[in-house]
Amino acid sequence: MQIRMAGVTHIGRRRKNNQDSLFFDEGHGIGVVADGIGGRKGGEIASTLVVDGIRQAFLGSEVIRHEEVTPFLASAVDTVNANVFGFGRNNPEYAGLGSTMECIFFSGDMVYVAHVGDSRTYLYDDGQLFQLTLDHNVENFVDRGLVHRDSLQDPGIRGAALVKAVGLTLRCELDICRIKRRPGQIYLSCSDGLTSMLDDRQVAALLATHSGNLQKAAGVLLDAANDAGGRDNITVLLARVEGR
Amino acid sequence: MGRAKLYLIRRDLETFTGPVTAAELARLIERMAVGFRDEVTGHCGPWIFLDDRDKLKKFYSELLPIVQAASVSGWSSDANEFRNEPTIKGPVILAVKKPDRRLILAAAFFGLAIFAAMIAWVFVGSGELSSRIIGSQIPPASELTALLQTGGEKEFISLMEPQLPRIIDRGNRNHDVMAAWLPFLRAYAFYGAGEIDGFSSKKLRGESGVAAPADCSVKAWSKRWNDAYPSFNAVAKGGPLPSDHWARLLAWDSHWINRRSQSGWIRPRNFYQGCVMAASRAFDSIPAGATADVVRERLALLTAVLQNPGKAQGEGGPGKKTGSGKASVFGLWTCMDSARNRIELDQCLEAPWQNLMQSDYNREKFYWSMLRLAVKARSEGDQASWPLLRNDLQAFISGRDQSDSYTRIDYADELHFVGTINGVLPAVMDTTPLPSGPVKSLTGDIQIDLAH
Repeated sequence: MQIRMAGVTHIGRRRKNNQDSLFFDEGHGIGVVADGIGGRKGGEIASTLVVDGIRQAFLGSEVIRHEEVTPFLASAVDTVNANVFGFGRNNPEYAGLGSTMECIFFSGDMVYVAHVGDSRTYLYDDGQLFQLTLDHNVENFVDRGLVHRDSLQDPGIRGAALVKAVGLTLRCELDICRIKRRPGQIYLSCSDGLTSMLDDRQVAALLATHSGNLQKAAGVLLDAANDAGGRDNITVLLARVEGR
Repeated sequence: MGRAKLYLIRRDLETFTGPVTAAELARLIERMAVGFRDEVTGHCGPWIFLDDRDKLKKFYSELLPIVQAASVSGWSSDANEFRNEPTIKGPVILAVKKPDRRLILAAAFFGLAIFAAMIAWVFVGSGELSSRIIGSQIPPASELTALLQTGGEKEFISLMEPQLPRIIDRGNRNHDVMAAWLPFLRAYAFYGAGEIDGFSSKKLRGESGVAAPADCSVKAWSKRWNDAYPSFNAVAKGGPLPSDHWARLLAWDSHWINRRSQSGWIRPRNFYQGCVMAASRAFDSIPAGATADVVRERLALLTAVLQNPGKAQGEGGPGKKTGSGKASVFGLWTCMDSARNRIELDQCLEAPWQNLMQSDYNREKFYWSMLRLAVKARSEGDQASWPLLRNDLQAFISGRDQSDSYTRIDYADELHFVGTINGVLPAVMDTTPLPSGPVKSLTGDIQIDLAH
């Protein structure tokens, strides 16, 4: 089965720079979306370090068999995390920089998604949209009992505040999930600049209309997010499993 | 005709099943391929645990009858164990003005029931309750632990085997039960196939073991060994190291593994040990012969050392070990692993390994072995060995990553222990004797016993 990919990243309408980064390699079935945090320049640097780090790790590895994908992703994110964390430590003006990360990787008949933060990956299958990843934010972690609200340093902290991001701490825990791929499926990885502007049904409706042309679909999603206000940087990565 | 509504099932935030229709989901539940602690989502909907009746009713009410039917049909006999269902249902309000004898008896009965529940709760910490929940056929946790610690693996397996489906089912629905049984599920897996049908490999693995393959089942290792067979000779003779798990496993540092005990593990003591056990068992299917025996010797030593930590220190020495594979790169690694002091370690630089020591990785591994000796010297307050080890380690550590470049094993804790700060080893070693037993608690649930 062949994979088709398309992606776009845009500054949005309110921000002064684009702190999102994007990389994808259709031939090898890998794509990364990162959304930097930690000030104007810091966020940009962090997301670039994440995307470049994963790309380097991938290019530097030999053939990755399906049973090696999880250790590869874990190890690559470890290294990237150390680089971002180290950068913040060595450059006090960028202290606190970090980045979300969505890495989608096609191997054999499986799709692997490595996820940190509140960027998201969705599956669009047979006209229906499913969010695969869990936003690593306070609200979700409290809801699932992973964090007790009492234990928060600031109990009034916003529910959307990030609990995990690459480079924030010495060790970065990530979610790695896998799903069996099927022809016709479309995987969407995106920064929260898209999902904070459009709800899932709007995204699903746009994908339903434009799923035949991935590049166009990515552009349409981006335009729709901008039309809705474009409050944040917007990055969209689409990957379709061909063969139907 | 409209499209059928589809659902996606998620287990442990790790694996997905589907998308499937409601009818297919019903069949999956019936076949126990999906449990009540799994989550479900529909088109543009939220993720809901299947045992969360209230939210299921709110978001996917069409699934409620399926889950209810399954809950009363057999494999889950706990219709009242839904997340939001009160555990004890309140008594029906009786329209009586004075308490009669039956009411007093009923109150006494409920009082006893609550008392019994409290007693049971007290046992949760020791894992005894989970035995009782699972059934009276299986001995308590303390007995199973004793079996594992005294070599009674066969009896352990035979006791666990018939109860596995119940344990997994209950564990999937109750975190405390799972926490209590996880060490035994892991022991069961790694004294057998390295996996358990229908049980999450992520749970089996736990949070550690980043350097190990995700799948450490005997089946996966059999395939790896068979695929790797043609490469054995070339690697043994010092050829390029492949980025394959089989070769990485042979390069693992048994001392590093032995130093780590992890909560949630009894035997094996951590995922790496389990992985070596499975790899070793899988290798039994490789036919004997000079090619295979070189690997077999290394694997046998790793297994023996992991099962009996004293073997690494007590029977080491470069001159004593290994047979036909002694001159191979695997023999060299065994030499380094077996060295008990700097003099023995230096012998690994000599014949028959001097050519193999030209390799960047073998030289790196030499220094990781030296770090082990430094840890030993540090923990024993050995002032005589320290200066020599410190000087050599200093140059090695400066500016390099803290993990083994090939196996990805992370030595940050060892380096921290011997005193590196930003890559600088202290000139003077603290000679205060360290307490016996685990001397350092690592982040999370791993303990490192540096006496090993």
